[in-house]
Amino acid sequence: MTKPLLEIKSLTKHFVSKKGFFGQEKVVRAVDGVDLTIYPGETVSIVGESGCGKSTTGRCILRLIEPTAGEVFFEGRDICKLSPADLRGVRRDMQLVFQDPFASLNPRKTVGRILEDPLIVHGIGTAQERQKRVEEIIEIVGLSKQHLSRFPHEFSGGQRQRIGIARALILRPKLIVADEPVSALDVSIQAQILNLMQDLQKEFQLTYLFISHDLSVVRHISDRVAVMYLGRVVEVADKESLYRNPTHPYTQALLSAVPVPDPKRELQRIILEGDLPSPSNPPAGCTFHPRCRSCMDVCRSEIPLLRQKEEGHWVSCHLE
Amino acid sequence: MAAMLHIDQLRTSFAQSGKSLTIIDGVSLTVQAGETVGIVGESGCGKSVTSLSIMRLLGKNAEMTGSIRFEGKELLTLSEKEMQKIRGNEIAMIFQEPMTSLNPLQTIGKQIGEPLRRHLGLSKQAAKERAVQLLREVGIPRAEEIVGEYPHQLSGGMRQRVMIAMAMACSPKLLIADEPTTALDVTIQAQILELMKKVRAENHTSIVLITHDLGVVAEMCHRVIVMYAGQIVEEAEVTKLFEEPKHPYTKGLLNSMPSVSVDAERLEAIPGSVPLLHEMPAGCRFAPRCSHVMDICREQNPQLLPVEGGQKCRCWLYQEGDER
Ligand SMILES: Nc1ncnc2c1ncn2[C@@H]1O[C@H](COP(=O)(O)OP(=O)(O)O)[C@@H](O)[C@H]1O
Ligand SMILES: Nc1ncnc2c1ncn2[C@@H]1O[C@H](COP(=O)(O)OP(=O)(O)O)[C@@H](O)[C@H]1O
Ligand SMILES: [Mg+2]
Ligand SMILES: [Mg+2]
Repeated sequence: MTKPLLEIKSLTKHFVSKKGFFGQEKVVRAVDGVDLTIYPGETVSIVGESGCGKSTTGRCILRLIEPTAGEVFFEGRDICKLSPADLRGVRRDMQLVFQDPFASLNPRKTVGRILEDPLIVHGIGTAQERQKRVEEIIEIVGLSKQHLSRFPHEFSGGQRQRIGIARALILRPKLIVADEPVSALDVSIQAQILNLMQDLQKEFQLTYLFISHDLSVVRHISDRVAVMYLGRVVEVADKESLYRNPTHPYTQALLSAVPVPDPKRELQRIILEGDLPSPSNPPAGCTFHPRCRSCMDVCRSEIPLLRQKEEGHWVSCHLE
Repeated sequence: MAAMLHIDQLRTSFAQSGKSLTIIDGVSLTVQAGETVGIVGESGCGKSVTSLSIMRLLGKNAEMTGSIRFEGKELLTLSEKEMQKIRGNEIAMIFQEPMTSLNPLQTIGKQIGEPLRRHLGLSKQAAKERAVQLLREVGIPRAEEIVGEYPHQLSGGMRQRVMIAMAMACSPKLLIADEPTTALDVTIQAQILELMKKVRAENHTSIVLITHDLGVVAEMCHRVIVMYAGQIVEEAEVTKLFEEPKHPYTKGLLNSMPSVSVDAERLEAIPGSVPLLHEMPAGCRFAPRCSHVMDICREQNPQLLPVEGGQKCRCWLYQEGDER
């Protein structure tokens, strides 16, 4: 059996902030015990509504923020225990693509410089070799050499995302964590970027952790999907299995809520009552129970564990 | 009987550093009583400017020509004072981000009650009672308490409910909703769309629904207008638009959408990007991205004309009524 590229165990991130007059501590349980395994060449998505902890999970994996607890194994090594020098080596292999490429591209640097920087930081190649690699990569993402001397503001949203992808790609990483990479784009441009990401995956044997709130995009791009709710994974399965047979009541509601571009289709919608509870004061037991239409007594007190319901289809729910 | 809203050849331009930039170029549309008309198109195509033109809410540097008639009455020539009587009373508007149109320093109750007192002459007490009732109707729990709270104390979904309550306060005949659910999570969007359907059924309200989400269009609209670069490229009854889209841009939009219910190996993206305002193509504005482009498309912009199937389409493939 192939070994996982990335293995996350009980990953937890609590943000502590001092609030109010008396400085009471408020703890935001952004990520609360997430397990997830990703194999080489796969695209695994994390999907869920805003605030459920998707970005925090992604940032902990890249160790851009320190997890409160849990382990993150990259090719078998726990990156939370690595020395700074070893961490740098691993960082080359894991890159991040952001939602808003504009916010993440330095406005005062040319695109050429933006793309060369990671090579300089990691001490790769001579100036000439670096230039060659930059020229290669800009064409690989569908732009041209002429674009290298321009500045980020001279590009459209879709082009900027191409630059963001080129920057992530230039170090030839194994894993790309893409945090809502197409969420800010119009559908016609979104399709261009999704196609590009699929082409690049084939060409460079990339593994993707794809973070998105858009269930249609996730269905299109993923091999496997993890659904998060209030800092926890409530369901994880192969794409086919998840969309054909959504099992957690939250996944069912989420999928039924997506408007479908077919005016003749009968709506069979599960409308969830109320708002998302606050992650600083999550409900006891199953955190979804106050909004669940199948809530039982046990759900109010006991946290359900992820259990395998079908081959490769895991659900955390007390329902049988 | 006059249509609820009839826009004819609307042109909206902005004066900017001595030049005039035309944003909306010859938009015509009709909304009948009780009808929901969708306006779709990618960001920057002029959806919001169209809606703000109807409300006459654009700044002083905006110039509008053509005609916007509301129940037969021309809005473009009304004085600001007369327009104020219509705004919020007969035509109401909700926006994508409620925070920009809610006053952060005023309680929810006061904000809902104010137009009731102004337009309907209700007493302070009566306005407050009506505000509580309206909040209940839009599904807000603890309405008696919420009237005393401020916008920042509410979640995004709750704020949008408040906006709808405010918009419906004076029972407007026409509601203009500009991306009302774009900023919301999908389960909250489902709640708000349900609410809009309920409000529409109860009040027989006409709605202009602006969105970039074709799923929302399919669910909510009777008729749809597709805009590209400031112009209408296709107009169709909703089932026609999805079953027999005519304009290559409409087809492109539909094909580039990933589906939540069907798998596709690869998406059909539309190449290129929307033209910049000062680089508008001389011919058809979609020509540089169109896979059916012909010589004439680069030279002359086609008219929006009726085509087979009852819809209208702006494309040389369909000119003179028949398909080439
Ligand atoms: N730096 C931070 N300090 C405090 N709370 C945070 C911080 N970053 C994120 N959060 C909170 O953690 C939760 C999860 O956030 P995030 O991971 O960004 O969610 P998502 O990406 O799924 O929208 C949210 O409640 C958010 O407000
Ligand atoms: N007040 C203004 N002055 C000048 N240009 C404007 C103004 N408002 C909008 N625009 C321009 O008009 C175009 C259409 O904008 P808008 O109607 O907001 O698009 P959308 O379809 O995304 O709602 C954009 O290019 C925008 O930059
Ligand atoms: Mg996020
Ligand atoms: Mg807009």
